[in-house]
Amino acid sequence: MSEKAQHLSKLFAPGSIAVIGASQNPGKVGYAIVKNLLESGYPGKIYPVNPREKKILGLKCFQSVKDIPPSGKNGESVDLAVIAIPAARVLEAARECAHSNIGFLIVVSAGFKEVGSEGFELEKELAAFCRQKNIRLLGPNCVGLIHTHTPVNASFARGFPQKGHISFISQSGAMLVSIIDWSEIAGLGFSHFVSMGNKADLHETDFLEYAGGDPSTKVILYYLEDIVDGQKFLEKARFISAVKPIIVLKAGASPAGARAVTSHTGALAGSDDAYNAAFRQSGVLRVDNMEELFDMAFAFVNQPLPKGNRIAIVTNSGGPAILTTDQLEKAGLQMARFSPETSKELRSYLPPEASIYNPVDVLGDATAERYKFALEKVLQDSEVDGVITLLCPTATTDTTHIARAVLEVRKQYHQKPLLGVFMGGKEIQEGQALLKEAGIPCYLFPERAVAAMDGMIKYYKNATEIRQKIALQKSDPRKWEPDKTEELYDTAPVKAAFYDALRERRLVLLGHEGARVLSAFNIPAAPSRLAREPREATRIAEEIGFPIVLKIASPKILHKSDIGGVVTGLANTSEVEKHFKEIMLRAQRVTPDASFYGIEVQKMMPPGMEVIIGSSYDVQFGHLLVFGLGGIYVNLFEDVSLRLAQNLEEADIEEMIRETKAYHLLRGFRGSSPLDVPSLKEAILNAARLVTIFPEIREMDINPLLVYEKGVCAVDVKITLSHIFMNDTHPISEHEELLAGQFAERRI
Amino acid sequence: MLKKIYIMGRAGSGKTAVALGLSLLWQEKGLKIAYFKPKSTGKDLHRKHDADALLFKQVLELPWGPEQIAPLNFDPTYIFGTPDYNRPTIEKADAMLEESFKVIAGNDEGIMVVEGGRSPCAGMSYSLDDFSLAEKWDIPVLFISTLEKDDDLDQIIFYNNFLQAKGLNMLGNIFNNVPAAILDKVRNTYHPLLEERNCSVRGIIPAHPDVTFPTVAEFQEALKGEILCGEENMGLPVEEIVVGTMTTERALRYLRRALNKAVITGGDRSDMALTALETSTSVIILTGGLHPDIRVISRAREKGIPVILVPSDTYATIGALQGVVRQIRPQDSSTVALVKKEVARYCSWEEIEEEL
Repeated sequence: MSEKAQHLSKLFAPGSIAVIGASQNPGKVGYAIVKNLLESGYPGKIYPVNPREKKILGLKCFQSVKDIPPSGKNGESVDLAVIAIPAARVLEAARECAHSNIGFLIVVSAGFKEVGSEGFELEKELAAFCRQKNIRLLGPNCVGLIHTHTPVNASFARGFPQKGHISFISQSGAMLVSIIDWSEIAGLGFSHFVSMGNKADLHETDFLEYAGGDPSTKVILYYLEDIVDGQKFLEKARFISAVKPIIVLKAGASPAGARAVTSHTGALAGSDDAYNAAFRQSGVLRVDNMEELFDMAFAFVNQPLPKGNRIAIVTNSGGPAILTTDQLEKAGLQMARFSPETSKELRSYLPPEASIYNPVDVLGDATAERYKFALEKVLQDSEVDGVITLLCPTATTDTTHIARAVLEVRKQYHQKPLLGVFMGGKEIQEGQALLKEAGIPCYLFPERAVAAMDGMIKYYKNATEIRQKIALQKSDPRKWEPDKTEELYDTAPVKAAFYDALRERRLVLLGHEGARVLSAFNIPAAPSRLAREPREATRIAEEIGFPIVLKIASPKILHKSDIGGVVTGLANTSEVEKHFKEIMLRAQRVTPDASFYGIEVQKMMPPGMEVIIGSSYDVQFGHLLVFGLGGIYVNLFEDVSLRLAQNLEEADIEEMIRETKAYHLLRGFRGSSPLDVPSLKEAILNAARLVTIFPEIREMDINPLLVYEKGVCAVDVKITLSHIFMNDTHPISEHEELLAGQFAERRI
Repeated sequence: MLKKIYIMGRAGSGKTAVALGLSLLWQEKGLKIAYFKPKSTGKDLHRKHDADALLFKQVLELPWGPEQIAPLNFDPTYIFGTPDYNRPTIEKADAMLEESFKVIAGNDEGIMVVEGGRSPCAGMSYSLDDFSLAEKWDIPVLFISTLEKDDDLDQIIFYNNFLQAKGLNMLGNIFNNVPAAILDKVRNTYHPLLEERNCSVRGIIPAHPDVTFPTVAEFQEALKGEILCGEENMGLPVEEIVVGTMTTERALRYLRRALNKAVITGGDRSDMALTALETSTSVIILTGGLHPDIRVISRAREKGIPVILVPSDTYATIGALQGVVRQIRPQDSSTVALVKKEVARYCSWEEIEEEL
């Protein structure tokens, strides 16, 4: 555990707690907090603070935190103050806490940035004060926190959850109180509940670090609307997810939802695609709803992880088994194929009508013994990684007995996950409860079981890959760290191209500049040069060789072909000259106000398969990299895969390519020859490094990149730079001297 | 002897900036400068004096009052008369001009810079166009224009020929606010062509955002909206206008490509406003009278970007912004300095002076 995380452990196990705004009135939050602290069995000292009260719930009440006497043999001060007074007085209370050397504050009071500009300023002031005094602050506008192992309930939530190993960290207080209430009937135990509120200081990454190193936490759950520092969160998540599952329910997946999140949290939400890619690469499991979040949590806490994706089904009815099979297939999991021995043994014991292949149907009249036998056999089979057992209550089914049989099997075979699906109502209740009590997730319908199994498989695979990757990166940092990978390339032409654009006050590179940038990063690009007038174009054409493509050069025109700004297949100088003029004419007519730099004269490349490599900068996570079917099909089929450019490595790239339909074409589709995938991979890796080394690139589209049987070639590239480098202090200015000769000021 | 120069050109060509740059350079050289603008525009009920007259008076420390420097108002509706005087007569207008001209041309040394009207033809119905005035007072002409397209070139040649045909002394042409994209074309294609047609070129000034583009303040003047924050940065230039009505993900592409832009979006689109604030934005104009989320204001304040709230819808707002142009004000000292620097750098100002 890092120093900072260790520091947070005191927040969850404070020696003493002051409750500022404690109350006698049962309707007040200040009353609920004292009551919760008392009822949670908190072993430390509780100091209610309220100048108008003498005693609260039997505890001596203090006028101010300053009046609380130092306790313990060393005269320690209070560790934590929970503040529940009107927002306007919170800062004053924080000052008193600082005076009394209190290291942690939980501000449950509302009335801060969620209510408007005054509250916003107040919150900023409070956060700045805490930072200055080295006080860590949870909230404001939060419900508080719970740690069942300490135990402590420093919240105004109703009830106290069962002790368990799940940490639930929530940006929504309402979500948290509902889950505490629900957990009681769901039989789910928790180690921590944290309501982060407005996240003025402590936020998801702080708690991730803490929970990652906390021995009482086995699974970390999040409800998030935004992430304060995306890159930091990922960096930590990557290491922690390799040892414990992190499951996130991220709200705002739809565009309307994202807008709602923006207005709710004021965060500039990163794109949902970026969240998906980021979570995936850092081993974080993303779920779509609350049910899935807790289904998975329960499975992770109680079940061993599956080492592969081969799943067996043991059922007493056909229909549900088929449904489950469909769901498994849809999730990309495999139906296990039993070893001959397993089939043989099943055959020898089960009735002749029973199905001895996967799904194993032990039939509607199955007894507990029959279930037990079948489950034992499939769990023993090395071709099986996990088992889902289904039950439908027929007239002869003894659900309770069967549940007990499942528990016996579990005791003996606990290396592989075993999930139950008991479909029904009254009849199955007792059996379901028995399984849950023993830590076997038991669902009402197959979909949830498959989702939980899928989550566990994904997590295991991710965690394994991440562990390998971390080891690999440690072994050769030159391949991964941007400042080290930079040495692999000649970056001078890139800097020169950026310098050219920025000094002309352009954020968009012209095509030939883009080609120069790509070439510097070992991504082959079709030779291209800018011509300002027809004769120059014919001269360039002769130099680079026919056939030729002409493209209008204007940063203002996004889709050049739409306005007739591109002509291909020009075979001689007279054609080049003619079409130069025609393009200019067309472009001028369509966009009379745009200025054109001239026309790009490019070598026409032989046809190849068109793919796209793109990148866009995401505010939360940095550069995203896109690969997919290119050319005009990008928008039509949207056959793309996404990853974060940072830390992208060969296995990710391989996976990225395989995820798309383009992969089948690359491999050689219906008799066509396979294409040069290794060169493509290298181009993707180089593109990822380009945007990582030059973060000033905000957007890049290499579309299309032609893939041949041998080699690849970029024929169109758009690069947009960030404006923040367009000022006196931009880093490019350091190269100014170097380039001064090349770009000497021209005067008439 | 007092030398004179008549700086004329089409509307929006940046005559004032060039005139100011030249005047400052000559003044620095020790020459006494007089400035005269026979035909003012933009004086109205809200603005008592011609803005350029005030600018020159203050920056060059001229002794004359603005009403002397710019005696006549020649708005586009001048034929009906203006607040200055009733329906003008040639005699009356001419007399007013002559009177002021005499006062300002009273110096017996230095240079008198005469700046033309909003277009060289303005006032032609009363023979008070720039050609006629230059001819009457016998002042050599420096012609200022923007030059972006072949059409512009033809018009420039026409004006040059016309001036020469009138027997005026043509000092030459200065091309102003030339976009970077066509700078090479202007230098290598248009310039030689003009010289061939006997039109001499005295300067090619590249567009500079701080001189070429209107500022947020000028936008605000047209919009008359409520400034929610960023009042201290109303001098930021606005190079482009982007209307944000799509999803932020789609808009990002456009937002990222446009430099120093005004983003017009609904007050309820906090997502758009916040996204725009992360790109190169000079002002956010929120329409529909809808106050934004407080976080928009807070972020804008951090970044020093003005946010203006207007009651009109997006369409009407864009309409109101048509025709907003850059106007240099006396207090824009950095712009004044920049104008001088740019003219010194890109124009043969000493040669021009020698030829007067």
